[in-house]
Amino acid sequence: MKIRSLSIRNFRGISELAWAIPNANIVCLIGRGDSTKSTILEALRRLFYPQWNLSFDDADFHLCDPSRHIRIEAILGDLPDAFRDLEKYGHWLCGWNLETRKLMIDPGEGLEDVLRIRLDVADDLEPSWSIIKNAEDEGVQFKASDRAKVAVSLIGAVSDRHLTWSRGSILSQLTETENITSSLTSVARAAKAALDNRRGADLADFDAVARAAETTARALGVNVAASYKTHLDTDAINVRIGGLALHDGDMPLRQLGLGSKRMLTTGLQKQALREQHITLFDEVEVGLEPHRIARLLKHFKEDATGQYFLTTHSPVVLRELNVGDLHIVHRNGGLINVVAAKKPAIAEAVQGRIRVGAEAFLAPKIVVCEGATEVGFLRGLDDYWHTSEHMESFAYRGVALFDANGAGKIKDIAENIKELGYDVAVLADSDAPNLFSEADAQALRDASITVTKWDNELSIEERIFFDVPWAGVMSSFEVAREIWGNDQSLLDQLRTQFGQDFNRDFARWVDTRELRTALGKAAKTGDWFKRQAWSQEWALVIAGHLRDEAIRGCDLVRQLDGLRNWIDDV
Amino acid sequence: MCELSDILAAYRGAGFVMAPAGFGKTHLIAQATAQSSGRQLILTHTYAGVNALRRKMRTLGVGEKLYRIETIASWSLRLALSYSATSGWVSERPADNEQWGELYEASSFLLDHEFIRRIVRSSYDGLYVDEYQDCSTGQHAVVLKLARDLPCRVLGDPLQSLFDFAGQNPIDWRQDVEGSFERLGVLEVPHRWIHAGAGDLGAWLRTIRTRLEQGQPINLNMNLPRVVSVMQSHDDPQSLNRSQGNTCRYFQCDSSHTVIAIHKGSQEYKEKCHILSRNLGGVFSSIEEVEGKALFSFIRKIERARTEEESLREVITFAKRCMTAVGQKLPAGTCRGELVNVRANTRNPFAARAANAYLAASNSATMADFLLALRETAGIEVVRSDLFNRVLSVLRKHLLHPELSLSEAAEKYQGEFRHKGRPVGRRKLIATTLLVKGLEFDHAIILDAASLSKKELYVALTRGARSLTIVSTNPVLTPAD
Repeated sequence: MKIRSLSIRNFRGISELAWAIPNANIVCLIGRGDSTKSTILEALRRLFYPQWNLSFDDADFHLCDPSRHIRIEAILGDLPDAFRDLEKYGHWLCGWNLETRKLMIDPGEGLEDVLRIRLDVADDLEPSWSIIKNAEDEGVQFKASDRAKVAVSLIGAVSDRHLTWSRGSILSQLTETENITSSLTSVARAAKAALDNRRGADLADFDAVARAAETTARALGVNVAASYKTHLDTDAINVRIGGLALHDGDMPLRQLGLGSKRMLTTGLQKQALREQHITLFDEVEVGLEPHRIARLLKHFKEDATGQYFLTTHSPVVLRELNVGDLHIVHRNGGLINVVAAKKPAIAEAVQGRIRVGAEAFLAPKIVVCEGATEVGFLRGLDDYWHTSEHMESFAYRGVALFDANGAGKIKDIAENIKELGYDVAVLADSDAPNLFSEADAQALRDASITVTKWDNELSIEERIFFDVPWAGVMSSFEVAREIWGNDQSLLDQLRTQFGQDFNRDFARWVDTRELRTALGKAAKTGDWFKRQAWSQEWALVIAGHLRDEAIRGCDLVRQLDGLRNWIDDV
Repeated sequence: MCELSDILAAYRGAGFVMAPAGFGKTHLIAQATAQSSGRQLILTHTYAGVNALRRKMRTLGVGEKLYRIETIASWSLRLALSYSATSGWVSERPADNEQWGELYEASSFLLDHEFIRRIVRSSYDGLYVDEYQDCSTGQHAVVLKLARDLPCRVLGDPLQSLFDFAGQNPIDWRQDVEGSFERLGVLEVPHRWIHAGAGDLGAWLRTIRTRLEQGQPINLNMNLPRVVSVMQSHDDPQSLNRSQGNTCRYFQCDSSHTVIAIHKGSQEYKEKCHILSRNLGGVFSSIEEVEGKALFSFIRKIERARTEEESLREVITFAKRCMTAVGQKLPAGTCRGELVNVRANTRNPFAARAANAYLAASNSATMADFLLALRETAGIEVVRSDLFNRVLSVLRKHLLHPELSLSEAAEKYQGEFRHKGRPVGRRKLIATTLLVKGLEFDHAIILDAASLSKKELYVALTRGARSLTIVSTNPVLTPAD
């Protein structure tokens, strides 16, 4: 079975949520720390809680106000025929359009048969589960035994329970015998017998008291049938089924590390449920090294019988996923919005698994950079600012960089990321107005995106060579020489840009507008810094010059200050 | 019969069984269900039929998970309402045959949808339809659609297809049943009569059945079993009435036995039942049709009455319809709807006081008290106990649910009545062929046998398990089709 949509009202941090879930096996929720990701999983767990005795308290209500009723609803698809039975829920099917993700009152051609399941909790704290068609229906009861068939389990921070045979645990689902309880009764009897055998050694002191009691009894005329002695009361050694637990040798497996326990539980889950299951995994990465995370996620992907809802804060997890698996949870007061990360421009930029830019999805603020040069340049600036000027690092400010990989994609990507609810800035060249024009920049600014775009239709290389003090120009050229290790080639390129009267003896260069222009153009066309590592190095060299009084007010400084202000929320 | 139940249980197609009255049809269905794998949907027409099937299932110890018994009407209605966006059906209570016909069309349309067919396949492993001769063509269409997804076995008897009024569109047995379904067998043993110790009556009825099927006359002078007696009457109405009255009045049987006197099923004869029961002064009581027209017309009159006096007069009119001697046993003032002074010499002071109480506060409680006071009066006999008891039940229902209006209480009671079926409390009853169809009695008295059609005659003759008494103006019966 698969969950097709979820809506929640007045449950914990959520006052309202409506989420149509795409048809996928893995649904990974990301979002800021208090964005209610875990609450969403908890709501699902409660909606399909396999027993009748689920307790709610006032703290489960939004703002702890039980006068506003909790209502959790899901559309459940991929139904077993047993649920289509008219004696079960055959009178209550609705239709679900997998493409438009809309609910139709009746099933039909091109629609999936689904059930609309509701959990209501009013101020009496009594949960009531039902299946309905229309919102105003009273519906029919959704029985605990049927909720169990949906096989929803939450693997949270503590999942020891699943390594025991307690009711509803995965191990108990795997166990075929019906009379576990009677086996337990014989355990209790065996314990009693064993103690009897050790009576002389272990019970001598107790039996002395028993004899005294017997004497008193006889003296008072209380009928003594045999003789008084100490013994285990079978009621007291009531061995519970939850007491049966998985052991490795003599060690209970609950003593395994958290990550191992969670992995094992997941593996068992797949085995226990020959048919279908829905697994909720809160903070997948907890307790796992990157290679084990990779293994676990591979297991999820290969398991066609399950639907997995994950939450994560880890780029390591994201790197194993596709952008289509990602869903961003936004919170605006109690209003929760879940947005699919798979916007067209983002999907194109990420392509398949999220190898690069995984961090970007986990940060609140994202700078969309035109290309590798800009990414590296900002990294370099971040290093310098943090170490030399003691500013807060990008990481501290929650800023991540996203490589748009071309001026032509900046606008769409920035807009898409903005739609996902992130705070967005753009760092772009202005030398290719056909790819990213001033009008594009203005459109982004209108959408509250901070745009850093150089004046005078210049590239970053041209802008820097134009604006930095002469010392900065020379050290930039030094960096290029070190990177390329081929002075002749660099000078040839400069000669081409400069034209007549080019001086190949760079030690004797003097500051001219022509030379700066030639350097900027050669650096751009020759891709002198067009790798992250290169431009990062370059940035470290010139960052110091940006504080030079002489160039205060130039475009480069002004624009970078603007970007820094955005980073610092000024 | 064992073999037949085996055949039915294993059968995967669409077939029919010819099942004459009293030949163990219900037993066959229950037995075949017990042998089937998976849950069977068992459809019939009336709640009485549903109850009879349920009882049989319980008697034979058939597991409850193995069957679902419903009327075709309620099964179709529920499904059409559950998927009203697709079926287009919204009315919770179809009013007449035309609307029921539309409902079956909506259900048939629904059954053409793949999701509904899958629901059907997920819910049942087979289908039985009982009393198939009573199907309308609309119901038959629904069954044919179901038969695409479920093994389908229908049972019925064309000789028992009786219809009340026009617009029901009954199926044609030969064309619709024999044309659509494979013949799986015929029930051969008259279990009802063998069981009652009247095997010779059962055997005789078999020969009568054959004669009726072949359109041959039935000679009541020849070869009658011991338990069949014939009362010959002249064919003028007075003589006929006299012999019918006497036959009923002097009918002798064990006091624990049930007796049914059966009239032809037309409107004219329904009235004759009530007249006869009145003439018999309470020895026999006539039963009403399930719809309860007389009941609702009385309730309407009470609700429309503008004054307490008018209301009391309506109650008295009603009492006179149900009981004998009401007029003579009440003070004249009470009959006029007036408050009367109850003195030592007042006629029937008990009932007169109850009538006064009703005038002072006319409600369901005081009306029930008044009606009961009348019933307790010496010399008053209830002749339409079915109607009388239903009105009392409605009044009780109204007392339990004061939030309802009287007519709402009547609707509620009527709904439950449909489900529970007719309580046959009185031992001696008069009714028409239509009302007794499917019911079983110890003794049957057939009134004016020469007036009955072929099917009516067969239904009437097969109602008594122990004895038959036939009042006829002609010793040779040549019933019309």
